[in-house]
Amino acid sequence: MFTAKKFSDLTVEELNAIYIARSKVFTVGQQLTVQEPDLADRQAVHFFSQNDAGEVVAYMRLIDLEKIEDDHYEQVSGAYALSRVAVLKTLRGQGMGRKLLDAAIQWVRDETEATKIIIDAQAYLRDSYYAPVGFVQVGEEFREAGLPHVKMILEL
Amino acid sequence: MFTIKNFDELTNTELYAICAQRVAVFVVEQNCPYQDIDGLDPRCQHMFVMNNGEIDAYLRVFDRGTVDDHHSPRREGVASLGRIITGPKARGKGMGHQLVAAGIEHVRTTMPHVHTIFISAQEHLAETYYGKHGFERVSEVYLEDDIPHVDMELKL
Repeated sequence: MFTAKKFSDLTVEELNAIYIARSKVFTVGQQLTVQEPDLADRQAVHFFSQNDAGEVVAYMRLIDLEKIEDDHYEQVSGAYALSRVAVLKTLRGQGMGRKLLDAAIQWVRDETEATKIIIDAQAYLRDSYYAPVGFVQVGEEFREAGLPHVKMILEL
Repeated sequence: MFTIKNFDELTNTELYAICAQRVAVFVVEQNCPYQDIDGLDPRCQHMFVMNNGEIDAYLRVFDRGTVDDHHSPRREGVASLGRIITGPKARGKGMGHQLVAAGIEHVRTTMPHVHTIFISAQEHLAETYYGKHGFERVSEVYLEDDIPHVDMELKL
């Protein structure tokens, strides 16, 4: 159901479909005028589900924080980050977001040596989405791209 | 000087650079949260200059006789140029004019059935920029994503 691919393994059609989905969810859906896409894409694993028409309907990117070289991510040994977590509006309320998160965590468990997953979560999703699978907030709420965020960690 | 490619000839690195620079200019710089990555790109040709992994100048070209999109209804014999940008680092060197001239020349030489080139121009550029290449206003000024635009055409 979910595909996990490094940037260089994506087809150009898949990459375009990912960017359409992210544009819909973040730029338009949340009216964000931040740089999207950004350079971290090229170092990320892209984790997504497509419908029969090839549209990406659920997406996130997974970043190896031990190796990342990017201004927006601090290096952390033994950790992966989840970011740009997105489900198309038309698919919401059907458990797709939950499946996406569960599958991504399982992928990190199975495919990497990471001992924890870190996320800068939009604050409104803290209790309803991330806490139920074991993510715990660390530190205070902060603003990023004008929206309240919290850092959360899941120990694997 | 300019590279021109069909969508399926683009590398992932090129598509990334194109999308990143379009969003940098149209979404971030102009503070306009609209869906720049709109799904039309697979049916366009992409003309660009890249420098150290960044896009200096870009436009996309498509044959309106083969595309039917809610923003761009089908019109036989018409080609559209769109998403015309120069990157922040490349401005003030005349590259934008070279780009538009190359786009027009590309349509002339490779699309013999096309008699008209259409653009939806940001209004402040109508005379200073597109008018210099022979484009003339064919509509009243209208707002698109809150930015004044005007339709312009160049008869070949």
